[in-house]
Amino acid sequence: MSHADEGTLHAYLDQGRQPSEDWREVEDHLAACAECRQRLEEARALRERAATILRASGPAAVPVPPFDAVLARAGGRRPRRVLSLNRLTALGWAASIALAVGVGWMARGTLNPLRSPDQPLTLRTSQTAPVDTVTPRSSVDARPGTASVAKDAGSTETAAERLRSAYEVPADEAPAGRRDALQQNAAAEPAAQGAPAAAAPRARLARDIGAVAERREQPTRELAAELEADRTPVQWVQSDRADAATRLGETPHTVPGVPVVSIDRDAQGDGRGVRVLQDLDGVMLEIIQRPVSTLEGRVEDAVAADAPRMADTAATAITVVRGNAVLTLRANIPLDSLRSLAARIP
Amino acid sequence: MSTDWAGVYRETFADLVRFLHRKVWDADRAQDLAQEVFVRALGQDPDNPRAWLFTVAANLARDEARAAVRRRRHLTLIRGDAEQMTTSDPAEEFEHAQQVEAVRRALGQLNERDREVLLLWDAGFNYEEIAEQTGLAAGAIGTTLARARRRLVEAHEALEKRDVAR
Repeated sequence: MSHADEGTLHAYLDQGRQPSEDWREVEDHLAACAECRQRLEEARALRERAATILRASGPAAVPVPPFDAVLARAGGRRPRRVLSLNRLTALGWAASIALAVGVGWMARGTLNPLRSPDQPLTLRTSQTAPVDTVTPRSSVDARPGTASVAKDAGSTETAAERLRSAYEVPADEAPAGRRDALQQNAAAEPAAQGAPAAAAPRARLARDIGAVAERREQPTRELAAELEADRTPVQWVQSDRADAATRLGETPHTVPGVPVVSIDRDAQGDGRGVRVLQDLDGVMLEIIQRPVSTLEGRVEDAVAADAPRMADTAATAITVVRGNAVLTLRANIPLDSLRSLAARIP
Repeated sequence: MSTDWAGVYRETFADLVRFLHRKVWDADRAQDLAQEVFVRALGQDPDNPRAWLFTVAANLARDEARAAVRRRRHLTLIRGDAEQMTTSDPAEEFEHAQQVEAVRRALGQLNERDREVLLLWDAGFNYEEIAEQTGLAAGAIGTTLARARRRLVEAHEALEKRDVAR
């Protein structure tokens, strides 16, 4: 064997402990070649030195959170559904067949030459009954649980309207279970309508501290409406550190080492809200703060409202408690930067 | 048989954090991304869970790099925090921060393939796994690692000499 190259020597050092026929030749050569033994020792030193350098760069300690934290984080998300091509193809076929059946059925209802113009068209919603039958009107009316479209063929009603009305089952004709469900839904509606007003430890808090944490991502229409409803305009008027300290009952909180641009107070409500603006190298950091005592025990709501967003990199606001104040930090920076800034507030 | 992700988590999480830390250079972010990797792993059943995790981690770190420009202006602040969290002794904090910065810059002087191979080896991958991960031939890993180690050490020593000269 000729002299071992550097790659072989490193591979031998990295893998040589594993007994293998592959290394027999290398070991035989090393036993006979002082030059290669010298180079092996150099490779060993280089390997150790590189490992030492890398070790120095690692985090001092790596805490391992319980696996439950991963499960909780996963549980907070809606599972992403990925449709495979095969599944999409199958769905496409299913949709095509359903469409064809629907069109054919409607055309039959309209164009059936055997049906006289004044004969009614009747449909059953029961799957055990015939789907499409031509039935005298009297028999339709006598059959509970049957949806009917007792329309004259000469009517101007469109096929789509017929199809829609065919599946509208009057509540008093619905099966008992279904009727109960309808009644429950009807009873639930007022509650659902009232939900936005009651939704809201978060909304109440937002009004209290004068801000609503915003998402950078495009909100859904519902979320946008919710945020808009929450966003009670706050009028900030210029204040100073002493005045803010009086309102808060303690010195206003700031991130050390970051220039303070202004200290403002909330001109509305009880006037105990304070806002500090700090300049993060051209990006404005807003710290809205309010005494904990004015939140009437809703501090947990404040922090909990932000908890889901802690795992969401799109979030740009977090709420923390410092001293006797609840602070909401907002800035157009990544969440971890914002979190780091919050951690620096004593 | 489905993967025992809880077991893999216990065995791999710390290595994954170290691997990610050398790519994003933010201890908190590395922890966060490592958890994100496991969140994505749930429901998956790869042949080699460890390799799968590191592939996803590398991809996440790459995405992270795309946001680096946005994040760069805040690095000073974040580094300041990292210093505060690692130790309580200001002198030790300063020294550790200097070490991390020197390694970051030294690794930055390696080409991407050499750096990837070195970090995968340091994360505990064997030659076959590194080859599978990087697409290199298994026979080329020794040579690549030797070159990467030499460049890392040389770059690191050059940076140390420059700092001493200042």
